[in-house]
Amino acid sequence: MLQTQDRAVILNRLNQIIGQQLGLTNIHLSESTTAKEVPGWDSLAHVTIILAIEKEYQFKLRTSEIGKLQDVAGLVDMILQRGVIKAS
Amino acid sequence: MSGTVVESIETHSIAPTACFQEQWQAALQYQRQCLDKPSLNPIRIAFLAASTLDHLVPVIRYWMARETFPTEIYVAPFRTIETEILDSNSALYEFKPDYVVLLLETNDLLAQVPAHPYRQIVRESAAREAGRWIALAKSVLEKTATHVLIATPVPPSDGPMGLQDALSPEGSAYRVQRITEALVEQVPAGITLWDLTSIAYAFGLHAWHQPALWFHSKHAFNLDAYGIVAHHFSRLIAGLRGQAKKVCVLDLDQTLWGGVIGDDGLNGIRIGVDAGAEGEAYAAFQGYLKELRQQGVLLAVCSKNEHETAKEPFLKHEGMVLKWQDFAAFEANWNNKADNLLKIAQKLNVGLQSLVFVDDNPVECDYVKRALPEVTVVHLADDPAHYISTLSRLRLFDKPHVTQEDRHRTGMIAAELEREAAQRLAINTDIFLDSLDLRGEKGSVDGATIERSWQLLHKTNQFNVTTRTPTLQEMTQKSHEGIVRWYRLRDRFGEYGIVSVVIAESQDQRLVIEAWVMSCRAFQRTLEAFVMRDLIELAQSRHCTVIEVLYRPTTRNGLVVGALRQLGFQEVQVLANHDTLFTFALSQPAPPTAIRNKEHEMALISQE
Repeated sequence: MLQTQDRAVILNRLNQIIGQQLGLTNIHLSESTTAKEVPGWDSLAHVTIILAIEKEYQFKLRTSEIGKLQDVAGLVDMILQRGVIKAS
Repeated sequence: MSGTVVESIETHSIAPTACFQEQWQAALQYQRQCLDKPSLNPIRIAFLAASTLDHLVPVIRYWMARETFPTEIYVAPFRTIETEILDSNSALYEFKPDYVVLLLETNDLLAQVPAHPYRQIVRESAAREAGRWIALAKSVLEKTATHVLIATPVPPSDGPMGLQDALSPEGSAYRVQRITEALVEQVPAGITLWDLTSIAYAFGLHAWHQPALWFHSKHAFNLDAYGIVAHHFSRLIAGLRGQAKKVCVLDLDQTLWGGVIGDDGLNGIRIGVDAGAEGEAYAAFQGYLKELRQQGVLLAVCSKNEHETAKEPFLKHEGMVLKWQDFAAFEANWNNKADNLLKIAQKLNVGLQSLVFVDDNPVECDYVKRALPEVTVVHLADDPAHYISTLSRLRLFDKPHVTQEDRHRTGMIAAELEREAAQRLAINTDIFLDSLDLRGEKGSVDGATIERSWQLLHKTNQFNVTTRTPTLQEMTQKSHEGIVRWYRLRDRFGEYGIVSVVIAESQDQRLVIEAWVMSCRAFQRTLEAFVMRDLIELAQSRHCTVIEVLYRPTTRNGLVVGALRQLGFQEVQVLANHDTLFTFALSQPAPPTAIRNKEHEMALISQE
């Protein structure tokens, strides 16, 4: 069952996912954060982050989209649009 | 195995089938621990690939440390396989790898083995492409002391030929399979094949291929398969290093049979087809263990039972597949299992790390794990139907296969088998002969060729026209004075060697054939026409007007008559002893042949 959730809730979850993939505890990403600003978020980490998000929200990014999502706001948009937001 | 690193890994013991996220977390954790504990003499492994390995390498590092030994890994820059191999000063050789792994890219291979409606053509180009990679691998061996592994290619999952993709020589799966076959046939010592294809099939080919990841970042396959790939690889290396497990120590009750022998008795335990589905499942498991034993794995029993009670089924129960003599050690008593395992290891003269302990009881498993951490413990849970897969997929006993194939088998015999296969598939003779690319060579018998030519004269029974068998001396004499010719044949599959010999003499205006033999190996190749054309040339140069031969019939050379007639010979006279005189007038046209003359350069490098 789909529930509309705050961007804030998604952002919180993204902090957890991205933090885990980068091996960083207590990261505080805001919607305006870009990949370049985050230590360790290189193209290698980008793939693992995308895969983790796809798994969490059960959708697949299109080929052309994978490389383009280099900022947190874009990720939140994508999840709201296409992801399956489960009741937590 | 190093102590502290392994301990910390054990606390995160994920399964090979765990998803990529879990593999990645475990790999990162291991990497962080390694930073303060550099390993002495790690295994050095170099990877050469045309795909992205960045995420695979840490997972491999983790599994290698778990299963064998810590590693140091070098990955060549993307798509530099050939240059890294061929340049003696490349980073690959500076790295001094213990193992070099080549990961072949399916699309690149398919470009070299194009679709073609003829199977033999596809097989031919597959063999060539496989040969090219084997040659590259060999040049690595020439430049450094190492062992090369070549990963077998994985077929694409949506080939253009659809339902026929694996069956038609125009399909991509078919062509990939032929390449793998050729690799298997050609692989020499110092090179091992890594069966990545089977891992892909086990994982599921449709899930294996992730086109979006390939197009985006050239990842060759689904990252969720990295666990099984890395585990498989580490067990392969373990096998190559002699670290495959040697002994399988088994519990009895609920492991080798259903029920408890002490309580249910000989007639109560469930084993064998008469004991229903459960009995069949246990029998299958016993059968699997018996086959492991065939491959050199030692079997032992470690059971909490009275010795005589435990022994009985192996001697008396009809449903048992494993018998008493299949076991190298048998400890059935009321001592704790750790002590028994120590006893077994000592008796069989192996280290504890060579033992695999298999038990259905989680308490026993846990106890042994804690008491003897070097022993590999396998807990068989629930259903005996899954026992084989549970044990098998741990790859504990896997060893590299050493083929007993006789490598001295002459190339000619192997090529002959291939020719036979090709012939069976041919549509019609002309096209088939043309596709063979037959090349003939001829010459006058000399010191180098006399032995073989004389042998052929003496041992050929079917196509032997005159059955005259001169001595070696007579033949040598003749080769100086008259005409003694040898004929050699090769086709695209290989060399036939010298396959026909003619002894002839010009008398007046007749070229008289005194002996003519042809090896049955060369039948149906139009060789007789090739020979005839040579004889016609010789006759013309000696101003002869006719070629003649006296056919002497035997019980075995009947086919000569038809062959001579087809060449244009005519029966002229039958003598009292049934010898038949055949003649060929030189005014007649020369018979056509599918055999082309070998070029002069090729004649120089041809071998006897």
